[in-house]
Amino acid sequence: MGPDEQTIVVAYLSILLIPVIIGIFLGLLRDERLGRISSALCVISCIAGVACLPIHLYTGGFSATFPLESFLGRYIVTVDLITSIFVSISSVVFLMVVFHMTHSGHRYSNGYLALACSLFVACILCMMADSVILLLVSWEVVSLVTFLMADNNDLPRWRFFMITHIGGLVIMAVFGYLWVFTGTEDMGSWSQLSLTMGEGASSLLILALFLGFGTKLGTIPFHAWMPEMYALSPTHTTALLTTVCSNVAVLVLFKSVFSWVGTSGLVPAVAIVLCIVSAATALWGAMESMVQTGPKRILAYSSMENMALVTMCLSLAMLFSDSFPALTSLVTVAALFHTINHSVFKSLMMLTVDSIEDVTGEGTIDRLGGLACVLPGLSAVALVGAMSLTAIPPMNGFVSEWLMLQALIGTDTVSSSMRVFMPLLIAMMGVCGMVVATSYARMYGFIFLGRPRSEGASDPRPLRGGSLAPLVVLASFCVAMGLFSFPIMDGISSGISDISAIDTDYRVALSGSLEPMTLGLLLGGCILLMFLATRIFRTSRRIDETWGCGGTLDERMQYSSEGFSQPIVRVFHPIYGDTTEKRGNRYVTRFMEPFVKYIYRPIGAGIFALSYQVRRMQTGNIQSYLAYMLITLMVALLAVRWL
Amino acid sequence: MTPLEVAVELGQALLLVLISPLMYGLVSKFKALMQRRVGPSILQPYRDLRKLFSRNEVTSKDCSWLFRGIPYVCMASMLVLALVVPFIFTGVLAPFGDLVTVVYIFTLYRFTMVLGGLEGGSTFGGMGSSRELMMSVLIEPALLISIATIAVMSGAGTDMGSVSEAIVRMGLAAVSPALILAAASFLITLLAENARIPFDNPTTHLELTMVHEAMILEYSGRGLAMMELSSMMRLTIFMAMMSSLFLPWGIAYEPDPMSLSVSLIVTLAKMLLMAFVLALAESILCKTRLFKTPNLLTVSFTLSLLAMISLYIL
Repeated sequence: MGPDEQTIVVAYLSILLIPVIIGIFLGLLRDERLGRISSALCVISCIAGVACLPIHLYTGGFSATFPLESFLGRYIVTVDLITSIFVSISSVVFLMVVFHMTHSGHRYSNGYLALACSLFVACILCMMADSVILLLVSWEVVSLVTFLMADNNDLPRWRFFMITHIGGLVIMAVFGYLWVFTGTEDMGSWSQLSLTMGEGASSLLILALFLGFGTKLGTIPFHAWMPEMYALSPTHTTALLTTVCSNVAVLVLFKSVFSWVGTSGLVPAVAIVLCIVSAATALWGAMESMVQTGPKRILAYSSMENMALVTMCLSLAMLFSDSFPALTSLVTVAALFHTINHSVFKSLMMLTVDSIEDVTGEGTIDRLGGLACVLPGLSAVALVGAMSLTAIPPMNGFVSEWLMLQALIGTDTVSSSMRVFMPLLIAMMGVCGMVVATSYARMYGFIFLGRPRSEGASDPRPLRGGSLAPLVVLASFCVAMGLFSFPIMDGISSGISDISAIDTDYRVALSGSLEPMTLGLLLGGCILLMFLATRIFRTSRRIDETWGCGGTLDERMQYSSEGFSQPIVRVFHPIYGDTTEKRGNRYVTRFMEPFVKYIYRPIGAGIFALSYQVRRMQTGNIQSYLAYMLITLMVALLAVRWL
Repeated sequence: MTPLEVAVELGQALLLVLISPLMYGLVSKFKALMQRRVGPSILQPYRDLRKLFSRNEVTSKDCSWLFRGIPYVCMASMLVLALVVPFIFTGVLAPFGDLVTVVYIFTLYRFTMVLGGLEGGSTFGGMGSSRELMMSVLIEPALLISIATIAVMSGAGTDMGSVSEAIVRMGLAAVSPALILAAASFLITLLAENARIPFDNPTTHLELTMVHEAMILEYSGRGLAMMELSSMMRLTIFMAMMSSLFLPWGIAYEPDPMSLSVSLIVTLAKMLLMAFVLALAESILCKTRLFKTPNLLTVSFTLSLLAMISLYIL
């Protein structure tokens, strides 16, 4: 890197970080104008973040050390191709969320805007981090800031706090161990450590990494915080948490597993266990999302499903990494591409939900309906989002699921010893795909179609000016990332080969071909053709009532959202464990979270029981406290002596 | 791709579109004959479509812009499938005659139709959509696994044209448990996807038993014509997939007149046979209760799973 490029890098990092850091401090002051300036500064940094990929392409990758010293080592950032792709996409999402935030009906406090600025800094630094201390600090800041941005004093956010911190401690332990093992905090010099580390240790580390990041991604049983946290936080917090934070978690997980630790000599059982857990998470998330009535809870469970598909792909990559390089490359590309796709369409859906809450004031899909007639623009962009989430061609979600299925059917898979299990994974993908389709058809249909089910929905306020623009941008990203998916995936693939041992072309493992652009044009062309063809007949149209068997229909005669999902619930009754109870003059179906009932509640009860026992020691008598101290000191001294 | 091949491929897509009402007519004619009725002419579906296309439309006041677009999307998705499914010739026009994509285009069709059912605010639409999705949750894995089975078995990847050609070239060696089980699973999928007895009754107008009909209840005129035509095309495309992937012998893989004409005759005979089998099945079976259908769909799923596992084990 020449001196010119060094200047560019320093200038770039300054534009990326300094405005938003000023924004944090401005947001701390209590003046409304300063709050606006703070979000404007955040926008500048977001735009700089979007420029990360072009800057990377211009400089060919760069690294910088911050002029900060601490006893824990240097603060280094490195931007390779894959990081720059993730930073750019995350910045686009962040930019749109911030834009929507400032144009929505919410009046966020300055403190909230400052928190949003700090979340941006933390996420960017965590993705770029190349030294232990920077990674751990920024990861911790991400967790803390999202906790603070949840902006409620309820149990769910404390549950989130607990679970992510358990994950954070595990991550800290892993990186602490690696630091001691390598003797350097500069992760740029860590490469494929498993070669020197031995199978047992590296397998254990990988398991710990999946556990640590799984808490953020909602792998079962660590998803217990997700639905409540999503439902009760401000929607913009949720939008950032489910998209940008997931991007960060997947990117760091990918880099740690495939670049720093490496997968050579991994115990296959670890990968198989992770694969099974991910598949179970995906099924559970999809199934649960289908019975929720709050749109944010639907999206929460669907995030869980999408991220589970990603971790499933990563665990398959670990499983195949020794013997099938092309297949490994294929599943990693699928995983990372699906992650960035998910961040785009999920933020689109989250912001849509926020706009709907804003204009109608209603929070459950059972009290909405008919919005497509009054808000055609919003309904069109939401349709794009719902179709991407359902993996409908030619949207971006389709391409990544297509890649996953190609991996499961591919010729390499067939010659592996794991092939007998592949049909089960294919079936899992099929069931998940259709359950998710049900979930989104239900959500979209109950929000936008049919008749309004409440007063708020029948007479919504007009959309706030400017709040549709970010949605349109995100929707066009959904379509564009589908149509131009292969160039993007080529970029991801070469980014993967830059930093990991996976260096085979992923296209080798494909057993079919796909041209999303041609497919999109063909679908569009056929629609146009049909439109022109039907003009041959001259007909007219009349508007009338919906047919109601001779009577008049009212909005309560429509299907309810519970009734809509009831056939599937009935088929999968043993999995749902649903119970129906009579409440007043109506029946209510209740779904229980078995993980909460059978895992979290017993643990909580055990801790309470234990603390009751501990309380018996607390007599309040100073002599007994002195005795405890003496005993502790003796035990500690003896332990030091003998160890 | 030579101009001749392109012409043949366009021709087969056109043929597929043109004969789809005929297949509907044939099935109902066979059914009528089995019930010792004279039945309507096999050309009746064409007349119905013509009539519907020229009728004026009535739409509900509660329907949005989406409702008007849905018939076009449904038709377009079926037209794309007609272009990519091998019928009398294994070459397919588009470079993505890919089995996985085909499954997802069927999802596009179903998703838009389900959304159409939720339009208008009537009870029946919601009911039809809900039931359709319940069945498709169980159909989808069976469909995916049965096509994965033949993709793996033929060793030709997921490109439909090559799968078809590879199975023909394997000759009798292709007649394996895997192919037979996958074909059986696909047949059940065909019945379920196309709303045939025992899953749904295409001719029913009794509200509480409807699935597919309930979803398209609100359409009229041109919209209804397109929905009807696209569902006829869906049946024909499924039958074409059955004939060219699971029973491909006789299909042309070179675009010369001799093999094309042989293929045309053989394929039409296979389609006729399948229409007969369909009519027979519909005549001897009765429509099952909605919550009994998962049993049959699970059978289909198990068959496809066995097909794929037998492929790996045998």
